[in-house]
Amino acid sequence: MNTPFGMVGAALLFWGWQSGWLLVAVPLALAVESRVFWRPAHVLDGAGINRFADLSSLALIAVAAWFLVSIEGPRAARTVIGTAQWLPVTLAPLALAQAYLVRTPLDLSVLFVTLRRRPESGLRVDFGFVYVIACVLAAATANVRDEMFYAGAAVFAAWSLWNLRSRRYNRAVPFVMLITASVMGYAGHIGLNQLQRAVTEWVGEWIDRSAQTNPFRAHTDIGSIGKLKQSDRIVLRVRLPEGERTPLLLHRASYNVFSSPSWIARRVEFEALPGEPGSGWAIRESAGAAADARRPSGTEVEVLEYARDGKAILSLPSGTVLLSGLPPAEVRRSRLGSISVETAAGFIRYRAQRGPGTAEQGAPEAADFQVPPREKEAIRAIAARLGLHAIDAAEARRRVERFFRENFSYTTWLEASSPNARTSLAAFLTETHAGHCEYFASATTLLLREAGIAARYATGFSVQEKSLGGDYLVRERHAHAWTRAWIGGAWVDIDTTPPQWFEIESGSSSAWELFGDAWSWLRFAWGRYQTADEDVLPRPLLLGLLAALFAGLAWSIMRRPSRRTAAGIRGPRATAMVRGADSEFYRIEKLLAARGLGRHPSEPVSVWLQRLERVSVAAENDAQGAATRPGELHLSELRAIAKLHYRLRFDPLPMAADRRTELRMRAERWLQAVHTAA
Amino acid sequence: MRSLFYYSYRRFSRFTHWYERRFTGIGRLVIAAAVAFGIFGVDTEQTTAYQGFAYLVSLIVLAAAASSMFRGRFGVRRDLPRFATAGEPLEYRLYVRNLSRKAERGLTLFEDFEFSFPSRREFAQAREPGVKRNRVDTALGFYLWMWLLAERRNGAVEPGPMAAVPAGAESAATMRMTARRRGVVRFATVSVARTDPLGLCRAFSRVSAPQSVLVLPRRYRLPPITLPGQRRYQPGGVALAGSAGDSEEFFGLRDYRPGDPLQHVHWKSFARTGRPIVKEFQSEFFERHALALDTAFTGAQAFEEAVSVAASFVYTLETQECLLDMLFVGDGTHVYTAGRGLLRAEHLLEVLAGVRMQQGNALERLETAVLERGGGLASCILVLAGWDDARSRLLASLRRSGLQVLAFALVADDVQIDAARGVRRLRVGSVQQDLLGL
Repeated sequence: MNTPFGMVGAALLFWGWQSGWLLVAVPLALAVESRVFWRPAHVLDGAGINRFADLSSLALIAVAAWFLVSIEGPRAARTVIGTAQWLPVTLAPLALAQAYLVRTPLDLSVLFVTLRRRPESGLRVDFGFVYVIACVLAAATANVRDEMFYAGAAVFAAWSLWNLRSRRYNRAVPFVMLITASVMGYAGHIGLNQLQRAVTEWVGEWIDRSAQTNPFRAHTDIGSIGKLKQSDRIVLRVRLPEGERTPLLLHRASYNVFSSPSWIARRVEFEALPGEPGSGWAIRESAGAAADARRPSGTEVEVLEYARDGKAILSLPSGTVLLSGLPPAEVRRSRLGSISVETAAGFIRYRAQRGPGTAEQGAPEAADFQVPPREKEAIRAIAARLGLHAIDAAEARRRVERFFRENFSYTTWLEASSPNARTSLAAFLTETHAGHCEYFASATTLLLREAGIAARYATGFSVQEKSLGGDYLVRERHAHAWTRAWIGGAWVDIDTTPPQWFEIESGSSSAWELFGDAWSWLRFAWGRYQTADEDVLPRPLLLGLLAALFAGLAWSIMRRPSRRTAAGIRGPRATAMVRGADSEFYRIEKLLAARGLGRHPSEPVSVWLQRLERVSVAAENDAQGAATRPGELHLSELRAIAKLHYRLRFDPLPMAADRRTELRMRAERWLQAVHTAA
Repeated sequence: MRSLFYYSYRRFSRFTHWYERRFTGIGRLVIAAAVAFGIFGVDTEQTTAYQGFAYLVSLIVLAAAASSMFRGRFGVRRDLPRFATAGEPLEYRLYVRNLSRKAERGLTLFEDFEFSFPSRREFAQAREPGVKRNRVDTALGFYLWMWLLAERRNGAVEPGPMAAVPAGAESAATMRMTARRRGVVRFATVSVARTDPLGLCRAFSRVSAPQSVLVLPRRYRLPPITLPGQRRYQPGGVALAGSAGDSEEFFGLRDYRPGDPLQHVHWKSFARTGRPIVKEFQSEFFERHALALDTAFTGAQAFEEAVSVAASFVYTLETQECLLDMLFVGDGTHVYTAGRGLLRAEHLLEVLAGVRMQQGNALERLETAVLERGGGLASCILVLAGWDDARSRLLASLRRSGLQVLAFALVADDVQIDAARGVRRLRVGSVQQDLLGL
C-alpha cells in the first residue's frame, strides 16, 4: 500500500509550519510529491536501499553532533529534541528513495543496521507512512501550544489509517472510530498535562525534603558508635584564585536549633533573589555597590558540581556578595545563608565573588542564643571553668579555641558514651576529649552561646586537596562542620576541629580511589565542557569540520560496492548453485528486457529467438519503424551466442577455456554493437 | 544468571508471539509511533508529542475493544500431503467452514504447531551448530534461544489470507509451510483471525485440528557418479530382483538330480535318452550396492548433513537398474532394500527422516552388518558423519574384505584428511559445493 498522493508533502508542510522551517519544508515536499510526474526506470536493490538508510543515519548523527557542539546548555535534552526536530531532513534520503527508486514497501529492518543480518522482520511498510510519523513527531518538538498540533496529528493519523483500513466493514464504522479516538485523545492529552503538573508539584516537594544537603535539618553522627566512614567520591571541583589560603571553607547551610543528634533550622524561608546570567545574582544587600566595583575575575572562587535534577544548595565561601556564571536559574536565599538554585539538570558551574567584610545573614535571633536544657549542665560547667561568662566576645572566642586546641584530639572512632555523662556531647566534653568535626562544631556553638555570643552550626566542605591539574578536589569525606558566630557585628567562621582531621580522613582513603578519581575527572571534564562560556573551537571551524566529515562519509557510503557473501551459496538448497550462472548471455537478455523484448519465464531461448525474428521482420515491414530495427539485433550472431551459452549451461563436461572466452568476447561485441546503434 | 536469562527469554518469546499475532503490521507501527511520541512527550511542557501519544493510545484502545466483538465459529480441515522436504516450501489447501449464520470476509488463517518451550536444562545444554557468536552474544544466549525455539517449532507457516466464507459454506486458502529439518511437524490448531475496522488488532477463533506431516531430509544435487564394483550372483534370483539383472534365460540341459522340480524336466530329451534330463537356467547376476550411514555419536550438524548426503544417494541412484541396501544402526541393525518390486526411494527417505544418532558401538555393528552381506555387494557407499581413528579403521576393514568402498566424511572446515585414505571430504556448511566438485 503506497502513501496517497499529497500526504507526505502535507506532513512536511505541517512540520515546516509548526517549526518555522517552511523554507526547507516546501522544496522537500515538492521533491517528494513530484513522483507522480516522473519515475526513473530502474529500481534499487537491497544493498542500494541500505546505502540510503546509512546516509540517513549519518545525517542523523551529524545533526546530533552539530547540536551537541553548537547549542547552549542544557545540552543533552536540547540535543535530543533538536535532533528530533530535524528528522524530516535527516530521513529525507530514505523517503526520496521510497518515492522514486523502490516500487515495493520497505522492510523496516532496513532502518537498523543490527537487524539487517537477521531474517526480515516481516513488517513491510511504505516508508512514506513512517516518514509522515517522523514529520508529525518533529512538528511536536516545536512545542507550539495551540490546538493546531493536535488537529494536525489527528488528521494525519486518520488519513493514513483510512487508506489502510479493513475493507470488510462499512465505511461508517472506521469513520466513527476515528472521530471517537480524536475526542478521547483530546481529553487524554489534557488529562496527561494536568497529571504531570500535579505530579511535578508533589515530587518537587518530596525531592526538596530529601535533598542531599537539607537546609532545614542536619542529622549528625553525634552519639553514633563505630567507625565513621565516608566515601571518596568527588562532589565538587573548585578553582581558587592565585595565592588563596587553604583550607577554605565552603558554606552550604547553617542551623540554629540543636536537638541531639540533629541540628535544625527553625522558621527559615527561602526568598527569591533577583538576577540574571548576565549580571549575576547579588547575595548581599550591599552587593549592588560591590558589583559595580567588581574585582578582577582572578579573585573569584569557581565551583563545578553535578546537580542530578537541576536543584542544588550552593557551596559558597564566606563573604560571597555576587554569584555569577550560572545558567538561567531560579536563585533563592534562606535567612540562615543557604543559597539554593533550580536550573536544568546536569552540571552547574558558578563563580563566587567575595566582598569586604564577612558573612552576613541578617542579625542574630533569640534561637541563636539558646542552649538545649539537656546539654546545659556540661556546657555551663565548661564555660565556668573557662570563665566565659564575663568577658568580651573576641576573648571568649580565643579561650574556646585554645580550650579545644590544647585538650582535644580528632578521631573517627566513635565510642559509646559512658554512663556517667548525661549526653554524648557531655561525654565528649568531659570524658573522651576526642571526636569528629560535628562534636567540635556543636560544642563550640553551644559554649559560645553560653558565653552570650550568637552562634550557629554551619555545614559545608573544607577545600584543601589539590589535584594534578591545579583544581581543588572536594570529596564526600571532606564534608565539614564548624561554627558561625556573631562577633563584631558580622558572622565569623570559627573552626575548632584540630587541623589534623584532614590527614586522618585522607589516611582512610581506599585503594580504588585512583580509579574513581579518573572516572570523576572524565565526568567533570565533560561537565566543564558543557558549561563552558565559549566553545572550545570557533563555531565556523567546527561546523566546517563537521560538514567535511559528513560529506566524506556520505560519499564513501554512496560509492561503496554492494557486499556479497564470500562463501557463495550457504544453505544446502540444491537449486542454489546453477552452472553457467555467470554467462554473459544474461546481460544480453537483460538489455533486451529493458527494451521490452524480454524472454518470458516459460519461453525457451530458441523459441524466444524465433519470436525476436518475427518481431524484427514485422518492424521492418512497418513503415513507421519500431523502436528496435532488425539490423540492430544481429540475430544470427545472437543465435551463435545462444548456442555457446547452452553448452556452458547444460553440457555435463566443463566448458573449455577457449570456448568460454569465445562466448565472453562475442557477447561483449554484440552488446557493444547494440549499444552504439542505440 | 543463566536461569534469569532463561525466564526472561521465555517471557519475551511468549510476549512477542502474542504481540505479533494480536497486532497487524499497521497496528505494530501505530504502537511504535505511540512509544516514540510517548518518549518525546514525557515532559508535557517541553514538546507537544504527548498529544500525539494520547491520540494514538486512544486508537489502539478503541481498536482492541472493537476487535473483541468477533464471534465467528468455524470448522477446518487440511489437504496435507504425506511428506514434506526440509527446507523446501510445501503448499497445501486449508478448508474453512463457516458455522455461523453470518458471512465472513477478510479473514486471515494462522497455523499453530504443537509446541512447548525448551526446559531450562535444554537451554543450558544446547549448542548452536556451525555459528560463531561473539562473547557477548554467547554469554547472553539470546541467539541460541531464538535458534532453539525455531528448531523446536520446526515448521513455519505463513499466515494465509482468505477472501470470503459465506454462511454455512466452505472456502479454501492456500497455505505455505517450510520445515527447517527432517522429522515430524505436528499441527495443533488453526486460528481464524479477523481484524478490527481500522486494521490494527486481530481477534481469533481457534479450532483444534491435530494432524502431522513427515518431513524428509534435505537432499543435495549429486554429480553423475559411477559406482565401482561388478555384478555379483544374487541367490534370491529373479524373484527378488525383478528386472534388476538378467532375465530368466535358458542355459542348458543336464541330468536330473534329486530335488529338481518336476516342471524343469525336459520331456523330449527324457524320451530320446531314456533318462531324466532337466532344463538348467542361468543364475542371476546384477549390481547390488550398499549405502551405509554412520550413526555413531558425533556433532549434530555433521550428522544431519550425513543424513542429507545419504538421502541424496537414495534419491538419485536408479533402483530400477540395481538394488540398494541401506544400512544403519539404530536400536538394532536396520537394513532396507530398494529395488524393483521392493521398497522405493521414498520409503528409504521416510526411514531416513527418523534416523537418530546412537551412543555406543554403532561403528562396529555397522561394520559387521556390511561385512555379513559383503559377498553379494557390488560396492558400498559409506557416509561417515565425522573423521577419526575408529572411522578410519572401519573403512580400512571394509576395504580389506575386498569390498569396493566409496567413502564420504563430513568434517569441519579445518579438518584435513590424508588423500591416501581414499575418502571424499565434505565440509559441513559447504556440502553442495564439495559434492559438485567431486
